[in-house]
Amino acid sequence: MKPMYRMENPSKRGVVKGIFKFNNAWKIFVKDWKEMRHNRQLFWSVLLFPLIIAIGLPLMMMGTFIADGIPATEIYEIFKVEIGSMMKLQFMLIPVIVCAMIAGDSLAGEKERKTAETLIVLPVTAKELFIGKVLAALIPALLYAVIGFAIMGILSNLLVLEPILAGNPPIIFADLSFWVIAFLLSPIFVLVMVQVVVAISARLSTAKSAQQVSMIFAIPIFGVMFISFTGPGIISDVGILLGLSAILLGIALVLANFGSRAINKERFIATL
Amino acid sequence: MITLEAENLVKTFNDKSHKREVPAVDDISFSINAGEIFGFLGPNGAGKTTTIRLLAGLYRPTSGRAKLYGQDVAIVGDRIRKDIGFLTENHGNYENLTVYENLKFFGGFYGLSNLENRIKQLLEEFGLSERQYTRVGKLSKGLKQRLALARVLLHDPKILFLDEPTAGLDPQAAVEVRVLITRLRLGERTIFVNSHNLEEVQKICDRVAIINAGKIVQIGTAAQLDNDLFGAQELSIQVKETLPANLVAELQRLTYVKSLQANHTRLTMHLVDIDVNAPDVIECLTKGGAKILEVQRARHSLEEIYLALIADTRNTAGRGE
Repeated sequence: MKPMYRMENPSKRGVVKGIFKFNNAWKIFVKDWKEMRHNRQLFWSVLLFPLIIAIGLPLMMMGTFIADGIPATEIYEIFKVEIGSMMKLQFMLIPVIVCAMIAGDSLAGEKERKTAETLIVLPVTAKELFIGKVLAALIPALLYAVIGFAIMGILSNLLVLEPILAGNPPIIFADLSFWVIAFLLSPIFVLVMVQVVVAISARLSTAKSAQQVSMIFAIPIFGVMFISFTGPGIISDVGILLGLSAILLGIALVLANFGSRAINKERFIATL
Repeated sequence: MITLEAENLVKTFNDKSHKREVPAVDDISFSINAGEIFGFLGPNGAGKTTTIRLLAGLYRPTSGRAKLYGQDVAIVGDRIRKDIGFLTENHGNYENLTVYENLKFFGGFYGLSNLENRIKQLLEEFGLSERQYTRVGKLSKGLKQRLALARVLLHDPKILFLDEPTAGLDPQAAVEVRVLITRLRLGERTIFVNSHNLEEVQKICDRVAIINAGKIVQIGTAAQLDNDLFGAQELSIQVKETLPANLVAELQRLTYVKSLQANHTRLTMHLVDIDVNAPDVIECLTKGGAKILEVQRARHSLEEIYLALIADTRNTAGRGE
């Protein structure tokens, strides 16, 4: 039987636009997540960096302090201050690195693995594809940051267990700025980043080149780290952090609306 | 009923190095009927993939129209996706997912209420049931292509686009895929096959279009193309014993015999009008005492037709330059 195509939503160019279905975006996220889990190379390279930071850093610090003969109570005091400060940056750096690897691989990786055309012929809109790919990088990035936070927190407390058992309170991150960074600024910053990287990935033909470009986002983090270590503690000022979060949220929302325009299906497959 | 139509389709791409628009598809027109297997033949870079992408709505034409059931594909947009199945040149399966996961992922976009049953049915039909939990990366090329075919059939599309369906397969796997393709036409399904494999097209397609340098050179059934190109006036006769020289000479003297070749017991001749002249030739041979074993109207293979057409267009283009 001859099918009829309804024309209730024609755009200015006369093309009938599809309606955004979040379910379709979610399916793309689930597929990418499964793929990443089975792709050992990508999985381990993504997991390695958070593990090094979360486990390696406290151990390294502890080793240095023990080698210098610093007493346990003093190590406990240093850990309380330093680990807290380090955690803030970890919460920014881990998602940025994880995101750069996953989001860079997203669409450019589909081109490399020759699955892009198969994906583009599915009944999915550019926006569904874009949001699906954003989720596929954003969720693991934030998950890894939280896992890294948990590992680092538990490990740090275990390393100074003696003073804790002696009656000192466990190391917790009482500083409000830590929580603002961990659960507001970091996710929003990563959301901005991942949208830009997915858009870049749609234009480039290899995952490696997209990943290299996306590493630009690590520069401001290192800048903040440098400023914090040498001068004013801007990452402790809750007001500045909230203001920054608000600005980034605005950018993230604009990108969520217009980012999918970077996925022009015709241009996308023309670069295959 | 016409299901698919190209109406003066033109697609140009920007050639940045020469700062000009280069036509990949240059004013092509054809129509395909429901249930037809249509072959699209041409050398690499002829415009086959661009045409298939235009017809499937992946490219917007520079001018002209691609129509699906009479409606402009460029206007209908993504809505046509549910009516078409598109097998890309590379199998396009996700190698890190299992056979089942691939089918489940792709099938999930078509809103099928009975997806699980459909997957099961296709796995059985394509002999993949035992491999459903195997990662695609571990399958042979032939099995990957079978999975790709199963994938494009998930939503039971009315039109199938197959871009080089047997490229890179070993001969046995290619034969298997061809058998599957011919089975797919059941139920009035229209199949558009892009290929540069002449044997494949000859075996499975009802009609063929030959494209070169973005233009359609010829279109029709293999017999029509043979007739158009070679006139199909070649007669081949097998006799029991070698013909005597005087009988051969007598045949050569016949005014309607344009050329004659006698090779032991096989005679090949070009006639002015085969339908009128063939009975006279047979009569002449019989009168001369020849014992005829077989009379055959010579047919050219698609390969011969294709090579002649491509050579002809190249010569024409060469003269044009």
